Amino acid sequence: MIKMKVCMLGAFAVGKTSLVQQYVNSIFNEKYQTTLGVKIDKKTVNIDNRSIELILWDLAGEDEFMEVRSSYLRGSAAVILVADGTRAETLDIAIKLKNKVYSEVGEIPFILLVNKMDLIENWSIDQLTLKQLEKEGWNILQTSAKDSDNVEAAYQTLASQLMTEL
Amino acid sequence: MSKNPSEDDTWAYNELRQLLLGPELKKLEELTERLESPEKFSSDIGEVLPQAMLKSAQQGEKLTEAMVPTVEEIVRLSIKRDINKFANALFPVIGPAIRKSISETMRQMLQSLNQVLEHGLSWQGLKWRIESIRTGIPFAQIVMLNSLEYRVEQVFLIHRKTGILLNHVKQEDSINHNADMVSSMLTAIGDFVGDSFDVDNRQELDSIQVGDFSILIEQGPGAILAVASRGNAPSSLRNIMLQTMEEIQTRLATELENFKGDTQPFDSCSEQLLPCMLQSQPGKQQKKLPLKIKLIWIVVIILFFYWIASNIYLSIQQQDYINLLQKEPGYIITQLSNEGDSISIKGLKDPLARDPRKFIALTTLNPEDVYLQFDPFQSLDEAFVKQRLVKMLNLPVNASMHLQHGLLAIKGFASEHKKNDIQLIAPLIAGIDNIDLSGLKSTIDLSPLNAPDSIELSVDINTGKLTSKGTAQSSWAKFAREKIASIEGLKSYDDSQVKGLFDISVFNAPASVSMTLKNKQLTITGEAATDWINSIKTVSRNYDEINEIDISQLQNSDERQLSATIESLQNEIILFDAALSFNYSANESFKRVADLVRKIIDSANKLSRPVKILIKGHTDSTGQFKDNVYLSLERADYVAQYLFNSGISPEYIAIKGMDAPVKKETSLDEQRYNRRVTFNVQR
Repeated sequence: MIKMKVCMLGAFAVGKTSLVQQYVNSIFNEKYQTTLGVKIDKKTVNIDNRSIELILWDLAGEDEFMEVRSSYLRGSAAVILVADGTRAETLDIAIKLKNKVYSEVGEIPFILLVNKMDLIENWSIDQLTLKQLEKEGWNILQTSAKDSDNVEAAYQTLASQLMTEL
Repeated sequence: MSKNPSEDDTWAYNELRQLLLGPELKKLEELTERLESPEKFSSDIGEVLPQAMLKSAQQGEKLTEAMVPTVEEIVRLSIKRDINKFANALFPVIGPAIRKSISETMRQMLQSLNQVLEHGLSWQGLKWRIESIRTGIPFAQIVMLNSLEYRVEQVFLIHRKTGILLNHVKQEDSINHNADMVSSMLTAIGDFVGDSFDVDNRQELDSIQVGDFSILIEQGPGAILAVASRGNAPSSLRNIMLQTMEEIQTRLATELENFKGDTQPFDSCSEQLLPCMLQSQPGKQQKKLPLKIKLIWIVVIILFFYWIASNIYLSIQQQDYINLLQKEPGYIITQLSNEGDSISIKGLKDPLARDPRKFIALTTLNPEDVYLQFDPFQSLDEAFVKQRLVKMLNLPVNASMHLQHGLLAIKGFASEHKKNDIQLIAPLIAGIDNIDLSGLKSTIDLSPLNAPDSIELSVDINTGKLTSKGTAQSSWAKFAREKIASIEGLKSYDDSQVKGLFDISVFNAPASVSMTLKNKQLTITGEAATDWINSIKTVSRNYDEINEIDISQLQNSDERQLSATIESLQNEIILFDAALSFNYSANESFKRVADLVRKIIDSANKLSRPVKILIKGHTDSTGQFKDNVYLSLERADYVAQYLFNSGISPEYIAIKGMDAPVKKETSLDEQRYNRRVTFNVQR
């Protein structure tokens, strides 16, 4: 069995927990996130008849009062960055977090999920910025935790990426 | 100059060799020089040695094993040469190691002490004290033996860097939360504690304790071993964990170092983890029975007890039924036998006894499981003897019998013929030893009826029924009906054939009245009360002998009394002082007036007459006319208020203030006499 540690990172209230809520096994409730700053979930993904178990470390959202604990990032095989399409500053935080991951853990695979696609008319992140990031090699998916758009695909994409690196 | 041929050959050979192998020879010389020069040779080895050792360590433990004696000798020599150097080198390690060991020992001692204190005063403690006295083993030792319970429930082997679960073993019945997530969370907690409290990075999370549940953590360079246990784990568990960690770390160092998510290489660690699964059972170290066998045993025991209970219950029910039959008159049980769930009862039964199957319903027995076989017999039970007597003697209703200890006593009335029958039949019935007919009479004394000659009386002695025929005065018929109840032996009376003669005395006239009945006209003279007059008017209509009633000369005594009372009231005079103040409660005339007024109202009501009592107030001639009229009215009202307070209804009372004195006044006495209240009854 292949098991990988994957950290979910993003600004406060971008929908990280909502993105994992319906698609994973959870035994710990969200109070762990507020007390310890992390909640562990598990997601098994099948790629080409092979199973990969993603141990998701759903880290508490980063904001001006709270910083992601570096020790939690240690040993991560990949990172899921989450930004809120309606709040442009969350993309900046995602970029900052990606840099933090690179400096703490090294250049591990990552995927950026720009969430809240159901409110696309209110988005303040413009598509040009995202295109620019894609040109720089960023793997970006636009998701909606509310409508379940692209959520399963996000795990699949990340798992495929991890499989190729094995 | 020519050279010697052999010298020439040697030269030529050397020349050729120089031409062919010149560079190699130079290298060979250099190598020889390097090998022979200790300085150069050691420098070369120094360059390759670390790499060679690393490679050798990756390939196996040969190098380590080869180096053990040398390293041991080095350590020994170093200590021998200068012990301080070694002590200085070990100092940073030895301090925490000793501290850890001491704190662990202290913790265990405290735990045991807590247990001793906790159990010292409990019921459990009392039992242990008894055990200590019985066996002679010190109490503390018994407490330790009993309280050191523990059980390792789960063992986690976790990759140190990623927190990913590499292997996991657990007890069959322990709660199975997702071990992957638990192991990651454990790692996160370790990180959290380290980050949050700025713990020295050489010290790591060692254990987590919640009540009697604890997680012991052994940190290795590449992996973490976490053991979740309940109860007081022995200190040996730490050693086992340490050994296990070392074994795994040694065997799978490379895999741990290069771990990229594939847990397969660690599958083989299960066997190494199993020694950590320690458990103890206080007192007895019995092997646990498998759950299935336990369940089968439980079911067998339950069935066994159910079988015993149902058998006991059945035999209780059967005994209850037998007791019911034995208590029931008319049954003799001679034989009892049980066959499985069924019971067979044989015996004798009186034909008059109740159906035995009816009693089965009083128990929970199945009627089909009860076999009954009874032969008939005559029971001497008094109830059955009585039933037979009733059936065979056919006693008249006017007679009653009493049976006790074989003596039959019959009392009452019966004809001579019936009496003879009883004397013949009764001795033939089983259970009758003696007969007493002294209380059985064949005649009824009718003389108290004092019947006139015109009446013919006939009596049926067996039924006690008296019939009278003929003519008699109504008063006799009434007397006879009343008298009949007091004559012994008479149960009923039929006087439908008696022709009644009218008797004036039925009207219960008072002594002051005389009545004559002539040509169906009843004339009543004298004096009687309203009630009697009214009743005779109604009652006389019921008699055919009366067509008309004449009461023209009958005086109503109530009317006379009413007139007399009115007269008395009208003669009453209540005198007042000059002022109105008057203590009427002390004045007898007020009470008398109230009694008279009440009597007048009652009599008038009885006679259905309207009545009104006028109270007239008077004054003397002194004072103003206007004031006097007002004062006289006030005096009348004063008396009226008294009457109302005495319970007399205002509807019967009227008041009037008179405007002139009753009489002319010539003296003070006459003046006083004029200050009065008088009464006038209007009807």
